[in-house]
Amino acid sequence: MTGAAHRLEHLVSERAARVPDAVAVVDATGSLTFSELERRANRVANTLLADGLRPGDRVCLLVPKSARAVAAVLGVLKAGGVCVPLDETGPAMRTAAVLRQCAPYRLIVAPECSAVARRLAGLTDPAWGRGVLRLGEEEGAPEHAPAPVPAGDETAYILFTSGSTGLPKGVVLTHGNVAHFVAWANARFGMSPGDRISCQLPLYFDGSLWDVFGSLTAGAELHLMSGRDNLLPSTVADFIAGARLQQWLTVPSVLTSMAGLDVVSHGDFPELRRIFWGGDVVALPVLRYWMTRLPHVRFTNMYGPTETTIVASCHTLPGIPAPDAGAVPIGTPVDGKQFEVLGADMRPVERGTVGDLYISGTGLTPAYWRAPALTDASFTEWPAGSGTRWYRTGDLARQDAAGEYHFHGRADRQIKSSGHRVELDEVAAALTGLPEVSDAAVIGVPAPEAEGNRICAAYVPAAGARVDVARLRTALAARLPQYMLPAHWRECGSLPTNANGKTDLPALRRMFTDDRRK
Amino acid sequence: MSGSHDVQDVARTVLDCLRNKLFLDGVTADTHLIESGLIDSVGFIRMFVVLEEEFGIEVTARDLSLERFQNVGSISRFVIEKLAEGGGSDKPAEAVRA
Repeated sequence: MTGAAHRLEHLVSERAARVPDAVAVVDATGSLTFSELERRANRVANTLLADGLRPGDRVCLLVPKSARAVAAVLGVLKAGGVCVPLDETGPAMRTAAVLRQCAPYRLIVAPECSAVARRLAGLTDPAWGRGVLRLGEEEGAPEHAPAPVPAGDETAYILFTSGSTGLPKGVVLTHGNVAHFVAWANARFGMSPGDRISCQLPLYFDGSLWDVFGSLTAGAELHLMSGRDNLLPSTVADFIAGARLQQWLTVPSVLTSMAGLDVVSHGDFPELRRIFWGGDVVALPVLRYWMTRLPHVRFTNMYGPTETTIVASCHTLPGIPAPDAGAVPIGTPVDGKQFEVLGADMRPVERGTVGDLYISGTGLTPAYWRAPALTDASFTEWPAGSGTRWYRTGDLARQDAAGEYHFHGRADRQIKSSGHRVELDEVAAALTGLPEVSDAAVIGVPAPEAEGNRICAAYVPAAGARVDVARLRTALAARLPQYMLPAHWRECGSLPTNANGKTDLPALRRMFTDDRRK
Repeated sequence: MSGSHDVQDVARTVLDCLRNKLFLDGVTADTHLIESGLIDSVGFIRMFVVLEEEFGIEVTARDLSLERFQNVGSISRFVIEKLAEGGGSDKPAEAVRA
């Protein structure tokens, strides 16, 4: 019996066999070579297999980003499990909702996260899983490679993202989809053994899979950035310089804050070759700041919803854009993907016209985790009867004369906050779920100090309730992550409504923007 | 150096900003902002904007160190130093504020 050749752990092991003594992962406490990483991952895998894990079983990870966390992820994959990395700093009630949805066979917990794990156990029905594996317990397990995972279940990861119904939704990422993108990106952008690659994004973000598997399958060094490394614009700059990074995948808010505080000098980071960003739009002055200072670096904008696996299209800047150049394009589809811009009648719009962006081809998620209705609503066969599946992104886009695609905002109520996808209706649902609130509406207003949005909430107190915003925020913080918490609040006797009786969103927007001008 | 600005007044205002403008729940004069995990990178950028608006100072690249922003006391000392300097007139012209 042989395992599938495109499985991620197989590709990493293959590389590890060729460069066993090369550095694979570096974190704040030290580094692991490829052979050390493999042995650690094998111990995790053998422990899970001895516990009875079967292919396709989910394993959630409550482990801060570290070399141990990367070994644990590989161990889960080697055992045939499906990785669900959790945000160990996230609100317990939301993490508990994720646990209930994916019903893991095991929850792997780092010692420093045991208090969080106990809170989660108190919030979840024990039926969600059969137990906890404390990281460290696997130390005595055999370190030989387990038998290859038999072909069959393709799921590598389930990553949870904001859901408009009030619950986070799980996106299924397959081994084949991740491996396909990583192989293409490594070839396209030129990844070599020994290259130093950052991992700045959290492990529960799909972008981090590019860093992790891009570097490990190429024999490159993965440099993990901790929460502390990320705290200040200057600490990020220190990390890039200290690790002598050659490739850095980041988010626009980081580029903006570093430019805003002017922490980059001409010719800094002489070994840096590639900067990628995704998740949001970079303002042109910010991009010009970076490109002027780092003429030796290639700058590439990456675009792609998690549903299309990491990246769907990209655009490498041919040179420093003029101050009056328009927004940076999201570029052209990556290998294996196709884009279509369709009108409401599901016909392609004329080139140059804005319409709904649909994506098909390699990388499309097979489904949302255990949500067939949501999957049906988000994916469509087009043209009817063709058998070709398309993802309706909810993004508005336009194709220019040169064939490049441009982003034109959202067709729905999803926004970006600090680079995270936020369904405003998830925030409104959480707010309305509080006993002291009878009704609520939530909108996003462009942030003055960075790109992205600040979340604004209008609420109607329940009859007889006296509402204190600080208390309301604390209650909401137990249910939603920081980046989903409203920054502005307004108490109303009733929400403004339009002629159809629906919440009047433009009126709401005026309420908050007028507030800000005072 | 800090004679013209009352340390306790500044500290009170800083604490008030952390609680009511940055919504750092449960923060007290002794809270270690970084070790407690109360503040993240976005929180820091918002903190700089709030301090700039509240005290009329400007936070620049040379001010950035985690030690300076670890608690109410260290932030207050920083604010008083900036006020004594005359509000960050060394702001580099090249920086980009989005």
